[in-house]
Amino acid sequence: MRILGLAHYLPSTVVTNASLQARIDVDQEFLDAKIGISERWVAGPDESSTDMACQAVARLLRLHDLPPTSIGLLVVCTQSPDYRLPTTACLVQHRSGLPTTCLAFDVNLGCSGYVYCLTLISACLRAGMAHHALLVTVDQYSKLLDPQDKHTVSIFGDAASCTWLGDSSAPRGLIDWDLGTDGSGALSLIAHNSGVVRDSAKSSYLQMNGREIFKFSIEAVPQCVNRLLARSQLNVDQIDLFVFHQANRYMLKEIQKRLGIRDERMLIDLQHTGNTVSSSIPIALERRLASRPLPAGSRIVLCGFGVGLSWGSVLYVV
Amino acid sequence: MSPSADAIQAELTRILQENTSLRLPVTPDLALLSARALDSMDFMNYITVVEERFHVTVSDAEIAEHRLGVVRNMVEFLHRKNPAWPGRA
Repeated sequence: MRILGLAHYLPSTVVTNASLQARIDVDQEFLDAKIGISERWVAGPDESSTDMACQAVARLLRLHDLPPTSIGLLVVCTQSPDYRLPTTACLVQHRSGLPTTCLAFDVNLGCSGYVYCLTLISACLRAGMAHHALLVTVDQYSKLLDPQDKHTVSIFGDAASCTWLGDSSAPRGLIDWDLGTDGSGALSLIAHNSGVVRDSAKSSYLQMNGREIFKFSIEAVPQCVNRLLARSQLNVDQIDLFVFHQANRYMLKEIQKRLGIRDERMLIDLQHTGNTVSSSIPIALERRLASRPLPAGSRIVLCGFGVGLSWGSVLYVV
Repeated sequence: MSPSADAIQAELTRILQENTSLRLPVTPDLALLSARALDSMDFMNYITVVEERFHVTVSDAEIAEHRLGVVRNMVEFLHRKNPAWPGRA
């Protein structure tokens, strides 16, 4: 499976660190320098996840002059769907003009979602279920956050992305993957009362145990990447670009240090978007490839990690 | 301090120097958070590395109860938690 195109959408309202500081106790310098975020974008009160997803899809279709009727599979990765039912994928299929023969479903994953879905779609394409697929990521965490919780409000931004995927044969495209789950950490990042389980004693805002998430990330991610590379008998220096989930700059630098990745191969790009959950990898990748394309044969590792707890990495050859 | 406490102090100093942006000398009385020696991310990293190096778990409640932001308190805490810690090989 190959990535044939990338596009993204950011909503129109920007929230800068200065505007955050005006209403809650944040340290602008700390956010800019240590966390690596200067601004983040938030969806409008009447802007749905379907709206955002369709914007990203429309941009991709327009960019590549791709007829929507060519799409046989649509996967929408979201944790902020418009409704519990029907799926956001059904709504996107209809509004984007994808054919009714298109398989379409949601995947409820967060920061590991892009990598998980790439792997899932790869399996579907190999099974002959479709020849062309769209992977859409979309989240509006801004509508799940306590506006007074500086630890989450300062980090997360809303966004959507659309990736066009098609068949390929080795040795190009998606070569290998390593995925994992540890539900014992489920409470580390949770939105109570967002499903059938109701507990009036618990806040319905997104709750994040920053310390547990940090500890998990800096331990699980290097292990995941090392397993992936070992299977292909590769080492870190043989990878041309690492694109991790853009959680925060401090965490990424710690992961970089633990893996021994050189600066020029480590992509850190969240200054102007914040942590956009499952959209963070495709947005960073799109921006990087648009500014400096990689030559054929280049090796990329994409790695997502977070809510679940879950993690995944893929080895991709351009 | 006992030889074991000395070794723990030395290891904590190494952890702080190698894993945080601490620019102050590491003394037993250094209060990492209240003296604003470390920001919250560095402190979180410090605790994580302490857990890894000393093979212990440090809960948020223990950090608060034992004021583990003070270096001396962390030395005593680690000595109690893992008195068999072999030190750096």
